[in-house]
Amino acid sequence: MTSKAGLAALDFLCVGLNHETSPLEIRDALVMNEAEVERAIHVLRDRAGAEEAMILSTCNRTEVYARGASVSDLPLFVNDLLREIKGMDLGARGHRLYAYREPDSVRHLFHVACGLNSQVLGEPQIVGQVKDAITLAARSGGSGPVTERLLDAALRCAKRARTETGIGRGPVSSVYAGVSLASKVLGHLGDKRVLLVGSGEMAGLAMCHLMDSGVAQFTVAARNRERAEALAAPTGARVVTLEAIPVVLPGADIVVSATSAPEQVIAYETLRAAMKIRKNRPLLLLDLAVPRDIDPAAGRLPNVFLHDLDALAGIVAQSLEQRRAEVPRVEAIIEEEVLRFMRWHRSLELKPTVTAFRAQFERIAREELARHRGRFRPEDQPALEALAHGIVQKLLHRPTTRLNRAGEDGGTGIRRIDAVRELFGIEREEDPDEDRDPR
Amino acid sequence: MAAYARAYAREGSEGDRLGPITLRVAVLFHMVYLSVRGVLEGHLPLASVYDFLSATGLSMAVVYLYVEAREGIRTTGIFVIPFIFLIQIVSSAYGGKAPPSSIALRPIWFELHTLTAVLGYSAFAVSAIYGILFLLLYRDIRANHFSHFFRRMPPLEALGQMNIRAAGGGLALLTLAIVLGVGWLKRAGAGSLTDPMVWLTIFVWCVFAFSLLAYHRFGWRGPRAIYVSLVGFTTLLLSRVAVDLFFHSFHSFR
Repeated sequence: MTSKAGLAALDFLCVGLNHETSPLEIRDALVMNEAEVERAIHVLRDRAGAEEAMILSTCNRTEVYARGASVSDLPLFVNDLLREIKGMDLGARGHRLYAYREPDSVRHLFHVACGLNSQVLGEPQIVGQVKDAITLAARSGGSGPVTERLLDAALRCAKRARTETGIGRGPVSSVYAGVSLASKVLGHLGDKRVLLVGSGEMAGLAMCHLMDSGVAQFTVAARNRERAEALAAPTGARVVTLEAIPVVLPGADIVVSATSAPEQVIAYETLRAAMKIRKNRPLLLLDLAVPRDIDPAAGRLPNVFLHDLDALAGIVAQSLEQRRAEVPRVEAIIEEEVLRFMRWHRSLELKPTVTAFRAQFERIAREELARHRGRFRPEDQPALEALAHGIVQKLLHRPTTRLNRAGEDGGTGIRRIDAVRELFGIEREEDPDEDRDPR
Repeated sequence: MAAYARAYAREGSEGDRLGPITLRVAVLFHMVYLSVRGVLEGHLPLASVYDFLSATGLSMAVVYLYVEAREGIRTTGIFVIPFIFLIQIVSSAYGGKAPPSSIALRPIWFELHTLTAVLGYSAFAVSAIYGILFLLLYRDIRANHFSHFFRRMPPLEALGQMNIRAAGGGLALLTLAIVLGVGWLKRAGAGSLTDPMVWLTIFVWCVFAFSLLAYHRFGWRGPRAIYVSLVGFTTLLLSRVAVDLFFHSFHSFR
């Protein structure tokens, strides 16, 4: 196991693997269902002593987030956990898990939530997956004040990244690029009619994206009637054979063709006739097939917009390039949010320390007053108490002020808190709810 | 103009409200200026070619603001505002030196005729700009040329609609201008219906009327419909220049 940070003082840790560190076969084998996630969280709590735990398991990553685990080597523990739950011994395969300690663990989660750690840079699905992970952690008793707060911060970070930068801008899949192009040509797609040629995965994906863009009227033309009807069922689309294309083509505003036919499915003459019938109203043709389904010569017809996979790949490449250019801006947002979260996290340690520190001085003052009470007249007692209180307040003023600022001073601040704890023998205890920032 | 340039340059943003607000303020000041001049001079300040240009710039800004508000698109402002700016610069630089036209601008019919004509010309100008943007975007999309221009332009259909709506507004105003002009001619007897500008304007009216008819009635879409409206606007511009330079017309500013 490797560690990117020293793991001596375990507090908030992230241990896992992702598409950058593991091949698909391993990632696939480690994807956990809900029951497995619940079981893993129970193991982390019961056996590793984690106060809070969350597991993010998707096709691209399996990551364990744990707070306050009392095991000395959490990566080793997670390795055993994965072997127990998924039956895969990564150590035996010579595979390594990455491990991050805070603040790197926090930073890593924010990177994940913003889509910087995704296979498709800036993809938005990860936000939903992070939300699902915290919901599942809450249901399994794994969430607590810190993870809840952390997830809130991660989601806020992701939202900021998407609204303040262009990390989520532009289509990054060919099918989505095609749908974006349709919007660019035809404007609002709500009243447009779509002819889907083919009933395979690509056609299904195109239908999903088009439905998301508001399209409601579909016709499916395919050889395999059974598959076409299955594809058409959710939208109540009409199903026709490939031979009926010349009949239905004039009524369509968008044609998505994605068959595996070796020959052309829509000929130039068919399109020319269709354009005549539709009085040259604009027609968008997305040819997602290899080899191509639509005669490329059709692109010369007026008001016909014909785009094949190569053209759409151009849009995708451009979007990805633009997204890559936005990464530094997203990282700046992540750093701001990490700092903000770490300040809050430090304040959890800070407040009990300050309270205990002051209480200790006041207790000593009270004890000393009580010990020497007999040596003074009763009428002098209030003045003595005021004097003792005043001395304590004056002595504590500067240290308290400096301690209260420790949360803002990063590493120096933490060392200051640790020094006070050690010097005055203050035990670590937390009261997180009291310190939650108003949101 | 800088605010509109920024709205166009910034990826993923529809542009802030700085451009529209500044343009509205400028339009307001210009209207106040023209109103004060109108009150002081006792007629609409449209007596010279430079006054005419100034009013055209103002009404182009008004038409643009209307289209912008209606379509909710600010990224095309940078293609309209520079024309307005240029017109205003020319008008301001030379306006003071221009002698007033010989045309008596006092009768209200004539003033309204001129005003509606200016507004109509401006609407046609805005329509032509959107028509050209349509053609450029149409060419880019068909050539799979997905540049910054492609990303910053509204949908092709929206550009086509902006073109046709502005042309529709222009045609309505030009119709009104023709009616008012003919009415004024009959009352004042100051000109003739055989004036070249009258015939050229009627030709322009016919071209735009055909363009709108083709769009709404024959379902013409795309470059063909745009080219018709551009022919109309080019004729309008050339006729204006020709009347001033080559013909003896009571519409001339000479």
